Amino acid sequence: MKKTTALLLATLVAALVGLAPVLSAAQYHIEVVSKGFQHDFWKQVNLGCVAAGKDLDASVNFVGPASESNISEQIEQLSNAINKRPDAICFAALDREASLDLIFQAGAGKIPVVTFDSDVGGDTGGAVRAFVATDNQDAGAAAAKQMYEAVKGKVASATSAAPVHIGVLSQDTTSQSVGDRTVGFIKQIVELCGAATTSVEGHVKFEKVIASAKVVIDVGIPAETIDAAANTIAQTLFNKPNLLGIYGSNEFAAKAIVNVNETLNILGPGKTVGIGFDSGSVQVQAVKDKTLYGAITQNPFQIGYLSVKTAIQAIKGEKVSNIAVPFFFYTAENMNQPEISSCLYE
Amino acid sequence: MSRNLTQQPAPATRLKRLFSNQRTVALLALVFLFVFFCLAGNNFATYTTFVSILDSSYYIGFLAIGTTFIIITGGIDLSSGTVMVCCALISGTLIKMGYPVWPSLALCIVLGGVFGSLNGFMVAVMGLPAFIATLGTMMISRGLGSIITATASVTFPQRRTPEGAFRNIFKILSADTPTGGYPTGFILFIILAIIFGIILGKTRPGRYIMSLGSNKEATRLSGIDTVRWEMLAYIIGGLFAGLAGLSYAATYSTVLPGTGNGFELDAIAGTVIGGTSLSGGLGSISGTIIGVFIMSVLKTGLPFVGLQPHYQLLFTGIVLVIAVFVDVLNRRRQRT
Repeated sequence: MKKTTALLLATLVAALVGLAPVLSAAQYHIEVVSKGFQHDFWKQVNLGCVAAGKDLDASVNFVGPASESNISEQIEQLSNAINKRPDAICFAALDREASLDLIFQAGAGKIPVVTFDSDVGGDTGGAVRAFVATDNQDAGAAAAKQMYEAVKGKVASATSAAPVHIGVLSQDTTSQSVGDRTVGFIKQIVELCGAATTSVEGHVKFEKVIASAKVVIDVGIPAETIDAAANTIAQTLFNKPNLLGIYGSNEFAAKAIVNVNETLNILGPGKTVGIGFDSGSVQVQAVKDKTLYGAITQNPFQIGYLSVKTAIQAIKGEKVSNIAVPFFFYTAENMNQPEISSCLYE
Repeated sequence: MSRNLTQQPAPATRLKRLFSNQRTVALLALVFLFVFFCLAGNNFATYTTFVSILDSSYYIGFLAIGTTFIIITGGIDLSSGTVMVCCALISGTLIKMGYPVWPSLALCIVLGGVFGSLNGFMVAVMGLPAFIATLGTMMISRGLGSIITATASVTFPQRRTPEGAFRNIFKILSADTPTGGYPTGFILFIILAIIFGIILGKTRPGRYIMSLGSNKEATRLSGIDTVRWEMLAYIIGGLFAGLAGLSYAATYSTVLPGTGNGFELDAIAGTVIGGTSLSGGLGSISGTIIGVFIMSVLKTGLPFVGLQPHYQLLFTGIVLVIAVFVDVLNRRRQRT
């Protein structure tokens, strides 16, 4: 009887001890700390990471906070990831500076870090080996050029007595990726419309008010990353007089624009020009039925894939450098072309 | 918790009573969880993991100490999470504007006290239900934080700058310290927990606050100034929310306006798991600390056994319900 109990106990202990290595039979283990699972974008990144892990013999554990406002939760996840002593970490920072201590700690523990989508800023003690992302300023500027092409006739005939408005809806001012797309768009629009007659209003971070402007860019930023807050801001932007166009700088913002338009019905061919960013079922459908003029799409699968690939190269001690992953502008006309449709996700 | 221990019971009864004590059950649960994660988790039992557990406990711990005082009066504080964030936002904005760092940080705690006084005034003097009064303060503090910062996030000075020295209160980390640094915040946390544990359990103000929650009317009729002691409980709650704001800023660097909602519920959960009765009159700081650590050990430990931290919510919910059920069972037994 005693023997049986001892045998059982021994099996149990052996199972517990044995389980861990069996689970991670791959050559490398990589912890990926993303921005969450809320948006379909991150699900594609996840698929990319896992695919790279499969191709390159690495086990990948993909985590992310419940909401993109939840910086503290992400920091705790990063801290957990480091404590698990993986071979490398891939990290998309919700906030440029909140994670610096931990990144430093990863460096001290000789764990290479590859940032993706949103970089960290400041002294990381050399822990960050590479940054894999869309050039977001560039992508924002590309959206601005498309917007300008579509509305330039009306911009030319605007007067300071009756200025025209262009709305910008941006998820937050914290994340680097979203911030860059907003800044890139605003800078390019101001340049195209003429800096002397274009006023930027609505948020202190971007504000550059010009008294007798012909073009007014209204920037709206919701108080928090929840749909209701974004819809309220979208509504105020839609209420501007002579609104020529509106731009949402990520899936969340574009979705709010499309949702509010359902009741107001301002967007569409011959009406106000709406331009979005990324995909998601609501946005893709809106581009398809021409509610939105078009949208920029990144290549989230590639971002995930290249992040893990770069991390593995870093583990092997190979020289790695930053990667700018290409983006596309898609419309109802070109969205079925294979190189673009493969980047779109529902 | 110490109400019925005036006469010495027989050893067997004492043992039985010990296990029917919610705080003891919570402590056993904490030890069990910790041992479980140490055995089952890969790399869980390391110094850096312990530091991570502490890092994620400070702010909830401070909030929960303050919340314990308020719940013991029979009240509730729904505002502590947003007050914490609002205080940190205002203090961080002042630093960003170039005001000296230390006075701005001190202001963070003072502001917490101001919000606490507001809660206390509404509840004790104006006679508003605590739920409503603190719900109002929750909205006020959240709105104020967004207005003052114009919805932009506030980042506190980084560690490797002279202004960032305040972070050493909660953790000393440099090239010379071991990986993970020294968790100095734990010393501060334990010292304050002991001081306020003694105030609550062993001093006259503490007893008055306790008796308020047992029977407010009887307390008033026995000539005790109930308004004053109820106010005090809310002011203590506010000051701890301010201090929680500081520890949050030191740990997470960046504070976002519009956040903070939900932290007060974590604090309430920790308090209740630790044996403080929501109907007031019963509770202890030591129990609250145990409750808080149960939550943070769960949060930190679950990923080590391959579960997403979101499971923490699920398990905390189960622990919370069981803990309160033990409490209900005991009361029923005492009554019969």
